[in-house]
Amino acid sequence: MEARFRINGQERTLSFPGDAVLLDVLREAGYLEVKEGCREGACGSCLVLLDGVLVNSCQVLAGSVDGRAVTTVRGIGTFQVPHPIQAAFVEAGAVHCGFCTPGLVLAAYALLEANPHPEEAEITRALDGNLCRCTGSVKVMEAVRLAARRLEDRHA
Amino acid sequence: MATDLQWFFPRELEEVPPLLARDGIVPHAGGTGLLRGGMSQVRGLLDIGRLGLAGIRKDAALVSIGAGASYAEVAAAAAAWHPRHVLAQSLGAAAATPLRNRITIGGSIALFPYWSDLVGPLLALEAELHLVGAHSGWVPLAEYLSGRELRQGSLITEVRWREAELRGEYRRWTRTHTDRPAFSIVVLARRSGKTLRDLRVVLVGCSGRYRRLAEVEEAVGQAMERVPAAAAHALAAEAAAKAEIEMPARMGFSAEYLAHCARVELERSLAALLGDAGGGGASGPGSGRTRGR
Repeated sequence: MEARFRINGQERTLSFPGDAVLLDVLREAGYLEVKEGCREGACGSCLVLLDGVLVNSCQVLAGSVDGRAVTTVRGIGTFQVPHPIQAAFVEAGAVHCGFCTPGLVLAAYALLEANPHPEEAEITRALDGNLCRCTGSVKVMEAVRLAARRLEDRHA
Repeated sequence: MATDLQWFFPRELEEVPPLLARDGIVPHAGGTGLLRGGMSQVRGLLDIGRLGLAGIRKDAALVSIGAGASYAEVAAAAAAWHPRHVLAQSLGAAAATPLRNRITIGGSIALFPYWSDLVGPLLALEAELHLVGAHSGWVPLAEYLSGRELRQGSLITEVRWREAELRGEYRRWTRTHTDRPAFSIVVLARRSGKTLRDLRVVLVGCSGRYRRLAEVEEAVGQAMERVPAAAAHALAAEAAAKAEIEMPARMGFSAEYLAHCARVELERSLAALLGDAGGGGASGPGSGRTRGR
């Protein structure tokens, strides 16, 4: 089947089997920042924003996404111009092997878009769909708190 | 899976029955249950995303939730109605954030796994479902779950229940804080002064998937109306011990062990409802952490 997507602000028409999941369609189209982890919705490596809502792309049938907006981690910032959340992850030492980082950054992005001043429990809850086996959660939590402060400063 | 899978995107409910009458066409909402359950028999998917079925409404008499509403949307709405609303407790603890954003009410009812965090609370609320397709109209949720005939060829479009200001406890028994529950218990009642009325107790995950514990409702409910809370608590413990609970062996635990744990959780739920103990939430070996998540 064929479907239209708006991926990171760009219109794309992609062909894929009717039973394909969004994760595979995105990676086939070159969006390799969307990582393949567990394929069960447990690890958060493949997280994307679907019309601004955080979802596991391995748990979304691509056929249902026709006409909708998909944002990957490349859609919020680049290596040259990182988003404050991405910069905060680097600064806080929350990136080790990096495999889980795109999903964690997007989970933090979804949280801070909805709730710019999250409490500790709200951060923990927002990241409950992500697994990181390198840093644990301490540095990641620090990164989210740092990003929240940076974003507040930017909007002040 | 069938790679020649066809997709259908109806915009009006009238388009649904003829599509569902065709062989191998099943409804698609969030898709998480379909992917978990396998799609080898599926030839086509009827996507409900353009039918406008995601609304959540509450007035003085009735609560109504569209089948396409997500767990996250319903948990947030329920928390706004009351911080301890049973659906805020149950759906707020289900799965993880990105999955709660994707799992829908209709799909979750239609598939009803034993670890469901939705069906127990809806049974306790005595919810009704609106169906379109081979069977159309409103049916009690318990009737829908009791046989296959209502489920085949029908689409759930809406869930509703009479708002009765029922408050209570939801407990999910898990191994770890991110686990699916081996079973869950809902205990709801209406508080009137120091007495509790209209007690409803549902166990999900037992043999037969779920059971409304009528013997507990009757024994404890009557006692609650005529004795002080402390005495009612003792009666609740006795009722929980005598509750007719049969569990299958599951997740590495014996049936006997899970039945014992279910009785313990039932007693704690009743005690919490009476105000004698702490709040509900996650329980079992993984207890204590999920509540903060």
